[in-house]
Amino acid sequence: MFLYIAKRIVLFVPTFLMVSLVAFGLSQCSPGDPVDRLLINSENDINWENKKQYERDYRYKARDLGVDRPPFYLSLLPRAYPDTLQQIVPPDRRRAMRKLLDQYGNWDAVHQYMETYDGFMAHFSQLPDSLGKDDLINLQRHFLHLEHIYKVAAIQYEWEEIGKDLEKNPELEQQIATELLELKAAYANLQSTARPSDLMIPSIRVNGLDNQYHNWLVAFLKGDFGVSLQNGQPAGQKIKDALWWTVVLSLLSMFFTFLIAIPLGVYSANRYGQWFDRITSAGLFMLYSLPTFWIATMLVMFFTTSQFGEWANIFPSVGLGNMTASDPFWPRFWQRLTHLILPVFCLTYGGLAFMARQMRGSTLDVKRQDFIRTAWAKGLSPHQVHWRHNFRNAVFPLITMMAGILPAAITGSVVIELIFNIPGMGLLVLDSILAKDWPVVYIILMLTAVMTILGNLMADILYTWADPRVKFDL
Amino acid sequence: MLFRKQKREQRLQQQMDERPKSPDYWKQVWRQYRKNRVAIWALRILSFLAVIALFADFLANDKPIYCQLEGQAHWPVFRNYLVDAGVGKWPEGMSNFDWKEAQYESVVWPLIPYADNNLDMGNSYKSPFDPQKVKAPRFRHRLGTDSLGRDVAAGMIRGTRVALVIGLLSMAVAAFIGILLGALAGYYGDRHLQVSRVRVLLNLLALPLAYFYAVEVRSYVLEESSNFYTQLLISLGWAMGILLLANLLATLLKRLPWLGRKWTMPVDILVMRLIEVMNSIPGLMLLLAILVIIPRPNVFSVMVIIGLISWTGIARFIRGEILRIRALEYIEAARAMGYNNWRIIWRHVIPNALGPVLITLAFGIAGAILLEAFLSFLGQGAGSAQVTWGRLLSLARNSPGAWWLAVFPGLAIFVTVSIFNFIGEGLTDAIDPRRG
Amino acid sequence: MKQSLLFLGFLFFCLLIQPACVSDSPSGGTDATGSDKISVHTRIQAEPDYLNPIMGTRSWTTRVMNQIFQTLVDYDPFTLKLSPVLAKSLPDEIIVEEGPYKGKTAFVFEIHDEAVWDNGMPIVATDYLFTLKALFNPRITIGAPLYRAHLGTIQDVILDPENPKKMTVVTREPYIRSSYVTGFYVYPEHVYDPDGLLKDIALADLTDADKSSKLAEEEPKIDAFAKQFTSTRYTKEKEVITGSGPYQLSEWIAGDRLILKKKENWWGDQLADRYPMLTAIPDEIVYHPVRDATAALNLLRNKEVDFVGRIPGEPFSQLQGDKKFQEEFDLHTPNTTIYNYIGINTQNPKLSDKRVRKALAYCIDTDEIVNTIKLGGAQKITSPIPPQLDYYHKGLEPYSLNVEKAKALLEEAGWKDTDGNGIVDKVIDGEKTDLTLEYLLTPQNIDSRKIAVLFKEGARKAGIDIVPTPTEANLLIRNRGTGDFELLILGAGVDLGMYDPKQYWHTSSGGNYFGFGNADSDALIDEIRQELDPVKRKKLYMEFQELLYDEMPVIFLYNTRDRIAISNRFKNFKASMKSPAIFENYLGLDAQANTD
Repeated sequence: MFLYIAKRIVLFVPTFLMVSLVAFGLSQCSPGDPVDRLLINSENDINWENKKQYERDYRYKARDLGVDRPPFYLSLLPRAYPDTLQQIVPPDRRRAMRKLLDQYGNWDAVHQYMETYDGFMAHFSQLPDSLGKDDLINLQRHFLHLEHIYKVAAIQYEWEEIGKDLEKNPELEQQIATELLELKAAYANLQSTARPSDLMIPSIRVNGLDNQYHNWLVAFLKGDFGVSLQNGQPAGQKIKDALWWTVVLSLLSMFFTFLIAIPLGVYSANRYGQWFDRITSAGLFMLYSLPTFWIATMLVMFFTTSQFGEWANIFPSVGLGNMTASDPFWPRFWQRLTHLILPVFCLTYGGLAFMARQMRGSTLDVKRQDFIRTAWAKGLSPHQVHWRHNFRNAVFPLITMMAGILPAAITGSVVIELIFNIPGMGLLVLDSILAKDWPVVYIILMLTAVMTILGNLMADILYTWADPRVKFDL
Repeated sequence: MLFRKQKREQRLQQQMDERPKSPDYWKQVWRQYRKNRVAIWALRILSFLAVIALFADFLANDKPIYCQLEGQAHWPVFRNYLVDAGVGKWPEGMSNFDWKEAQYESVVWPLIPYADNNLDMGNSYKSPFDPQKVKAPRFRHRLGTDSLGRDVAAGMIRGTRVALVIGLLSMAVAAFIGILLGALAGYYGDRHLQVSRVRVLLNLLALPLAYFYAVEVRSYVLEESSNFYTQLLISLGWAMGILLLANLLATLLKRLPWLGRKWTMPVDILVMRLIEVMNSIPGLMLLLAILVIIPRPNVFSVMVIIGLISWTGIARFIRGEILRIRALEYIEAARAMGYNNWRIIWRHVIPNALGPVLITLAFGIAGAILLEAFLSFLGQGAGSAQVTWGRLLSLARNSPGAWWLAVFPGLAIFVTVSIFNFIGEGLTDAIDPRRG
Repeated sequence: MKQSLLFLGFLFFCLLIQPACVSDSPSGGTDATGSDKISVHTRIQAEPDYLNPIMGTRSWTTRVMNQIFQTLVDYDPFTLKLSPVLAKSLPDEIIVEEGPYKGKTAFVFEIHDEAVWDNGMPIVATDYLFTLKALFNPRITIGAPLYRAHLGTIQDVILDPENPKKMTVVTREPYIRSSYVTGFYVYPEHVYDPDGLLKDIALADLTDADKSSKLAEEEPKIDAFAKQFTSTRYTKEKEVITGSGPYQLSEWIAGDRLILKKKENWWGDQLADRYPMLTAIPDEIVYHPVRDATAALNLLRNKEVDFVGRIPGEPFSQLQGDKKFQEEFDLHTPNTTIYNYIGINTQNPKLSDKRVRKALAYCIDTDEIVNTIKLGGAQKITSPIPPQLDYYHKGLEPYSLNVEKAKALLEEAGWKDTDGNGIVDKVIDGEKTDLTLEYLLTPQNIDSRKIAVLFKEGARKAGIDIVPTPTEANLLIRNRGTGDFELLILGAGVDLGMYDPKQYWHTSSGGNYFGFGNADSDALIDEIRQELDPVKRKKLYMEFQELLYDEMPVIFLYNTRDRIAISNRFKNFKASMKSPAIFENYLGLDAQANTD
């Protein structure tokens, strides 16, 4: 037994690492820049008139989040890539430089092009307005655009437009002619010194232990779950807060599932083929196919307000009620109870239908087996036979379901919590994923994996305890 | 969910162990299946839905099927197909024609004379029983309209197609991966795949290289190309090519003494670990997480992702079944006769394991349809251009009084999910006649 | 077996009453209707992220914080005029006569003599100075950068040697918004910087981009302060969060509610008659984070919250027809300062002709948007300035659907359907190009999706092919920034301060995403920013709006109205145009409370 558990735990390590890699990989593939996302809040549309200030804020934020480090222990990149790409700010420039590099494979030339560009812009911004303000503005627009574009056709187009504008203003052309030539030369140089072969040659870089993945994994193992990107709250705290209601809902629904499903299944199996059995079987099957989100929407729509008549306003609205800890116990208890009726119902009926069908099936199996016949023969009352022996048979699905409860408690039920506005794990999962709050998503993924494995292990151990005939392979 | 899946798997496993095999096995299954009246009805309804999905354009369309206009006969629905295919052209002045307003000599309208995206701003939020501003009872919105006056019935018909396609294709993806991996794991187990050292080493080398040339080197093309999916296929081709090359090389080199020595590959452990990893990540969460990182998800990406996360059950069945079959005498005989492994797997093992896979597929389709509906309900998944049942249902949440937006699409989801469940159940009973 | 079931049942009963172990304040009854205490229950869209004004930027966070913290001056929600809050009066605008800042425009504030912190210490000018130092601390990267961009005009603060409650805020240049933005929040220095980390650092160094960057690298105190200031302790804990406002945080049950209690003997009560911004009637404000609008309405019907704002159009129009609902609740649709627009990339060769842009504007059925999609909760506009303000140009006619005009304009600009595919085309750079335009929208926004359907339909009739492309919000913002788009739809809000056109429309601004402007428009914008005479300024604003209307770099669609349902027990309620429309501190049960 001990050996078995030890083996399972050892086998769990690679799974755990794989899950962590999946979680980390997902966050790396995510579009958009996490730093920008925190700096430029899309609800408040703000631009940075002061470019310097933006770059500085960006750098600090990136450092705070640790995203200026390389992502992984090793990286497999084309030889043309420099090690410092990650540290270039702002991100738009980084992107353009990477794309140029992807085309030409010569980092020095790309770098030189951008430096020439900066030099040109410094010169350009010094030009006096007397050269023709409108022309300057038009040109500036094209030049600013140059920083972000990388496709040959697009750059060609901008050069042509710039050429057209300059034709109209020879004086201005004279002022920037040398610098412009330099810039064009830098771009031409970029194209002529292209080293496509460098793009095809892989190079492996060892980034050491100070990388994003390692830092995160070590922190996780130490119990430091990081902070949410949405509000800087510790992720662990967020999960702890959300966990409560999900656990309550799961336990309540499991309780009712068993309370109803076991007797119902056994009862209808004992009336096999009779009308009661047929009707419950059909009914349960329908119940099993009813989409929860549909039923929940309909229940909220029809039975929580008086919109369809006063009689229909049976249940309280969604949420958990408005009483606080300072309110007296019983009214508060009662309010919570009434608010939980619908969510628990929606969470229960599907599992209940399935469970009852299981019970019916396994009871039928057992009924045909020998030991029941023996029990009958021994003269036990039908009641005793049904309940004692058949119930024992239900222990297995019960254990399996218990095992499922652990991970389910971590992920919660997105549907129920969303529709009934219960601040549990399901809502947290949905929110965090949609907001790309990867630190929280990570933690939930990891915890779910741990819980799934633990649940399965526990179930296996309980199986042997429930039925000594079950043996494990080592 | 987890619990249900496992339980079902256990039961199926058990049934397979006891299943009698005979040459006309499938005939017998069908005979058994036919005895189940509900399951037969489920099949009938499914064919009905399939007809709706297939002929959606003729059932709900804003163009007439046939009309006579100024002495000329037109077949606008058919012509639309031609124009979309780039073969035909609209007659002069007909490309932006308002078919509803025309004066016809004679006309045959589809059953629902609206397309799913037709706006009828004068009739927004009309219930099926409300008075509607239409010029003839023929043009009533039978199942009501949404906020922009789009016809719910037309949306339901279009949604049928999306639902069925999603169910079938996503399960096709899942079945492909599941059968492949399950067969490998079951057939070779941990001890039977002997590979020469050079092959192992070369493959270990080729895998990162394949990644490098398919993803890193091609990242610019993949990101910038207007046709992402073609480029993706090319990338896959590169990866395959590199792997193939490595294996060819291995075949040549394995004659060398040290390199040719065999190593045993624990295929089963690897596949089972992979399944465990997949199972310990909640499917819905993984699905949502993948969807938010795709810049512009559409129906096809949803289908593929659903397929990618739901193959584990199939793989486990196939593996279990093969483990059992492998021990049978005729496989031993086939092996003794010198058939190669692939042929044995393909000709003998997989057909035998198909029964339980069919059952899983039926339940899997129901699950996939439900999942997609739920994603649309959340406002994720299929792009905004697609009408799906889930999206119609989600409209009801914004307008609690519009019961018709909740009742009809929900009913459609329910019916479709039910019939696939019934079919799965019928198959289970047919394959294992002892039950029921 | 039965016994164990019973036991399980008992266990669940115990579970249900869990919050007993979360809270530790066994205070008396707080029932909304029970005693004569007034308790206001507010729904907020989400839980506040940081209860720290410099860091929190979300509207629901600001809503809570504005009851705890105070600014020197702010716009009065009812008169819509800039009014004193923590300051005695609006600032005196002066020109500095001596010292290093000679010739600069400056603003003199004086804080109320009565104003004290919770521990009795007077609120003084150094508290304000400290607040600005915290704000300009470059290592604070949450929220603060946003405010730093807004308050960029501030250069330094000069304390008055005689009066500790008086200070002079020096600005870089004359600017129409200075008197508003300088009237920033005031933090208690003794609470937020107990170790005096920022004491020796000069504000003038922090407001200078170069010097502050250097300081951030060299001065460890800057980093230490930022760490402390952004820690959970200073952003979440009720024992620490302290402001000069009428309310204090009394309980925060994560995910469930947030309770503010009125301070006893609050210093502002005695001044409320003379200073309406110091009104604070309710004894308690309870915030309920409820994300889902439908769920919020359900709570309202069951009187678990007192009001709900931003109700979506359809449920609101149902409420309008619900007589029974209106027996207990009033419905309001106040104006807001939020507008929606379709941005056009004028640098794109297909869209560089303003006739094409106007043709696009003629393809949008704005009447249907206002009536059917927004269900009347919007107003057609021609400029970003809220149409209720007196410098909005009322003489310009908003665009609406007119396919014939659109076709005529397209033809004039050289676009014709030469190949019979229903889409107009033109030869651009030697290549025949169809007028097919990619139109970016965020998939989550239901109204945007509906507008896209409408726009596509209207444009199709004029021969323009609009391809609505749902694009994730951050990606859309990035595409806008790099000019990688053709059309996009977005919303934007302005505050009640004078509209500063520079950010979006000046050619030197990084926020000029749509390629608008030339030397004349730049000159006009610069003139507006510095013109302090309201009459002259209004004329300039008119001129500017005419220019926008004619150039059409964006199509202004509509200005949104809020939709509010509020319990009619608040007899004195008046909705405000200022966001968030309802201000809890004014809500009272008597009709004659001082809201005017």
